[in-house]
Amino acid sequence: MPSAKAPGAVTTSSVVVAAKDQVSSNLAGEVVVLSLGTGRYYGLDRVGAQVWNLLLTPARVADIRDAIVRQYDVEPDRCERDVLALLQRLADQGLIELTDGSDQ
Amino acid sequence: MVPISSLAAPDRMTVTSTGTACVPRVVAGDASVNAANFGFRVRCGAPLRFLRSGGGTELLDVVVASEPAQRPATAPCADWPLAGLGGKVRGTLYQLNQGFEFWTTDIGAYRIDPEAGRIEMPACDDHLAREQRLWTTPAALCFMHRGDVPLHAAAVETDAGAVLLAAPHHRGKTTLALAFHRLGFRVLSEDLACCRLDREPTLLPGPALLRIRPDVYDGSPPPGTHSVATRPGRVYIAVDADRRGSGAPVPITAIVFLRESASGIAMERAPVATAIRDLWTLGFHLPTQAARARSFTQLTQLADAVPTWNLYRPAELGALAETVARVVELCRA
Repeated sequence: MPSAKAPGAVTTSSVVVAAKDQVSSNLAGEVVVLSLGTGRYYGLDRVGAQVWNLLLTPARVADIRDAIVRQYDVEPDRCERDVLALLQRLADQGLIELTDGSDQ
Repeated sequence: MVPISSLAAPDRMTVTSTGTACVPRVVAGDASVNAANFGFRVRCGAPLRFLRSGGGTELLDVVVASEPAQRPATAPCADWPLAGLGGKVRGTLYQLNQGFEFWTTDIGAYRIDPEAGRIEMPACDDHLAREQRLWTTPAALCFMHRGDVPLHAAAVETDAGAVLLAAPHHRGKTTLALAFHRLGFRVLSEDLACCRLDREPTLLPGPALLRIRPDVYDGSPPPGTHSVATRPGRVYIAVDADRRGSGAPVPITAIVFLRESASGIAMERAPVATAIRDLWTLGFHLPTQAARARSFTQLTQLADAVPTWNLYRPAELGALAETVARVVELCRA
């Protein structure tokens, strides 16, 4: 059955993982990521770093959202929006790979 | 409510390292090889003017080519205008089966074999310029092969350790390093810093040479130095032997990014993201993914282990002494 979402769109059912074509380092609680293909460099603050560290192995977006909600005083809806926005930006930059989760 | 992090603005990186780890070649019992730079014990039949006394470990053989080299037929892996020469002189780097060739349009070709610890210099009349170039890309390729990290920075020694003065070309690294020298501090490197990522990162001192812009040179070398040459855009002064010290590693106590200010002198800790960005820009690597990855990892390790600072100061000769005092005071603290 064809997916209704646009190609590359991150949803809560997506399974995401850090792309192979990058290298990242933890640094004083933050994370810096280098895209090896483009030579571009990105920085993630502490919360973004926690999301990133959850991406080092394949993870369902909903599980990432739940992990952040458990750890921070944040409304689940707000958290979901922010996590999705962050993951979409990471995906757009080629820093993460995603599937629709149907094979999980 | 804690906001979710967002992606920082991307910054294009321009630079890196060789990607090959290697075992240092330690030469024991060779008392005749005592001159050093960048952690190497330097053995060379031709006179070299900017070496330090002792403190090197691995042997680096430097020889003069017996006949002119032929440019490789392969495509270069990098080509760039050499700094400070008005864009008229270019450097071109070729990666070959057995090391590298670094071609300069004025001096000639250097053949570099990092694995063997050997650099072949071109035969030419300008020995000073030839040696100055020797301690740039050719030497960096050798110490990168050893696992050390190049950084575009001057370095000086305070009583707290080595302080790296990091900035692109024409941002006052040499002028500030010379100000440290005038105030009694040792200059460890003028333009290229060789950093070793031990548990406590160290700086391996480089050539005892300062290339000063004519507009900041008053015409006479300061005490503890002597003039060796004038070249387009730079006056070469060498540090006197009794002010050079050895080439032994010096613990790095701070990395200071030089920035201009119109409103006095200030130093503040550099945020991690901008520190990595600046280090990446000031690093050096070969244009391969493996080299990029290795360099990035090394630079983040360096930033994690050493405090990084932004130094805002007026680009005025009259502010140099106070700038030095501020850096020394903060590094002591």
